[in-house]
Amino acid sequence: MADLEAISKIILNQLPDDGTPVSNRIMRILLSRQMGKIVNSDNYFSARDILFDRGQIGRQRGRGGQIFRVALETDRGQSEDSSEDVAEAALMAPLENFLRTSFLPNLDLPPISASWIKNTSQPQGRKGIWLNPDFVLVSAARFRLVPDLQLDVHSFELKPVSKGSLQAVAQAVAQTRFAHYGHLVWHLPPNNRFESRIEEIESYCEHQGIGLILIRDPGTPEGFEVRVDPERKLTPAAAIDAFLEQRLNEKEQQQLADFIHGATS
Amino acid sequence: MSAKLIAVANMKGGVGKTATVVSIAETLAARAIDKSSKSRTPPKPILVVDLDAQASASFALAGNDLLTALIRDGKTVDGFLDRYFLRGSDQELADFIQCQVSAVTHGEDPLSIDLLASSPDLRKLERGLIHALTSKGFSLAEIEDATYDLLASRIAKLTPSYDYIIFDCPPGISILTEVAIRIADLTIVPTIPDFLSVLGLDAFEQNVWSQLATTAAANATPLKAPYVLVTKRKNLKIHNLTVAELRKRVENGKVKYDIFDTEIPESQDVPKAVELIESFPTYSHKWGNMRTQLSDLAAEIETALKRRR
Repeated sequence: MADLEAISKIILNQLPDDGTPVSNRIMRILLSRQMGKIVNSDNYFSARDILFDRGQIGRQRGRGGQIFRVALETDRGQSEDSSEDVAEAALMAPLENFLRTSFLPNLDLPPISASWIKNTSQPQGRKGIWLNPDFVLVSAARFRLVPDLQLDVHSFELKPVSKGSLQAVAQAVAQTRFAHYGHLVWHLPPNNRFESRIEEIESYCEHQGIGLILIRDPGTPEGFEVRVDPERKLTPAAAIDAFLEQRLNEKEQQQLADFIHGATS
Repeated sequence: MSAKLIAVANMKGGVGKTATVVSIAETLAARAIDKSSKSRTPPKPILVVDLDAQASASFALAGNDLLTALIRDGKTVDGFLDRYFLRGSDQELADFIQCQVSAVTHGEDPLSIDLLASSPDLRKLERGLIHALTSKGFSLAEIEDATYDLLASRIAKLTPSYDYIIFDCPPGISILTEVAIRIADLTIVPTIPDFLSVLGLDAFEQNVWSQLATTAAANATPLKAPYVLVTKRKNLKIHNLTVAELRKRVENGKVKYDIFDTEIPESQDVPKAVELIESFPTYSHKWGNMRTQLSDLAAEIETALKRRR
């Protein structure tokens, strides 16, 4: 029986501190060289999943799957004094309002377009904190002359003040396994003591291509500050399709299908 | 099943010995992965023993950082010989082998290749050894026999753990080349089909092989005929004529060697592939267009070794 704990420890030690992702294929080489023997794929993926379940690493698509280190300090968010937190539930309605009234219009979708904003915070089938964004925004657009259709899926991970951490960024990265754009939305009132984390989190978002939205004042859409724009990820269509099928209700799915197939505009 | 021992040797340098060692090791390791996925048993590793002080095979397999660490820690073939002959240590050869060095994958699995590395100190060590032992009254023949006895017995202990053990021999004549050829089940002589290289082949046959064959016969362990591998083959008149001549010599039984049907063409891909270390390539990416020839060569090696059982 392989010592999965020992393997997971070596995986973690081999990952760059700055969060640079390493493909599973290369990690198995590094691991095998370090251990002086081949670590078979079952043992590797079991050990990797231990780290993932603990929130010590994140996963992303590309090059046969990649993993990246979530800085150890991120665990502090879990044990930090959370007395200043406005409950996540209380921030959901303001965030939805911001998405509808400010974020979506700023996407500058072409006239022939449709969009859906969906609260997806309740787990549906998928387990774990990493796979349930709080909101998703789906936009579909067609163009006047060019026949292409543009479909974009944004995921939003909402965090109260004490939970703003690199691990939260990693969560947003993990959600790009089924979305094109990942965003971290962090409630950070002005002059809050957690402001000291902003530089590190902003830099990590830029490094990982994740958007960062700060909620300075949840009472008004103007109180939301977009600090980092996300990069569009090359998420496979099959992953997006499976996610939408699970998270949109039948009516929304039909609306999306009608738009895509040109039944409505 | 016990490992098959393959020595890759030629008196002449620059004929593609290291590329042959690395490509054969990686091809056999890739084939072992393919076979193990069918049989669902883990493949046995391939061991590469670098006997060349240039340490090119060690560098090509382990990369600069790992090789530097191995040399620093004395985990090399010269480290082993130094401790045994000059410091009186009786460590096993296995203690000097670095397991699982390959940075190349096939499918999703790393190639299973272990390495007994070399270092530039090997040349100095070989000279030092001769000096130290002759000053104690040993003759050169006795030193050769002692080295043979040591390496043959220590390698024999390793054979259950491997499918193949491949020796990269230095150009010229050295004690270690002679030992590798004497214990090998198959000796491969990479040869460029041009005038100078064929002269080198003739010199190898006359100077090394004949002498070793005499010694081996005296010890009742006759040598098995080496196989010539045509390397760096170009579509040139001189290459075509030379290959035809070599094949004719073998066919007529005029020489003591055999020759592989597979020929390795001259290609820029080969030196590039040998240098591909730090980028963690896949086997397919690394050997690209050469894969067909390498697969054919591996099959010929397997057949040649089966015939010799």
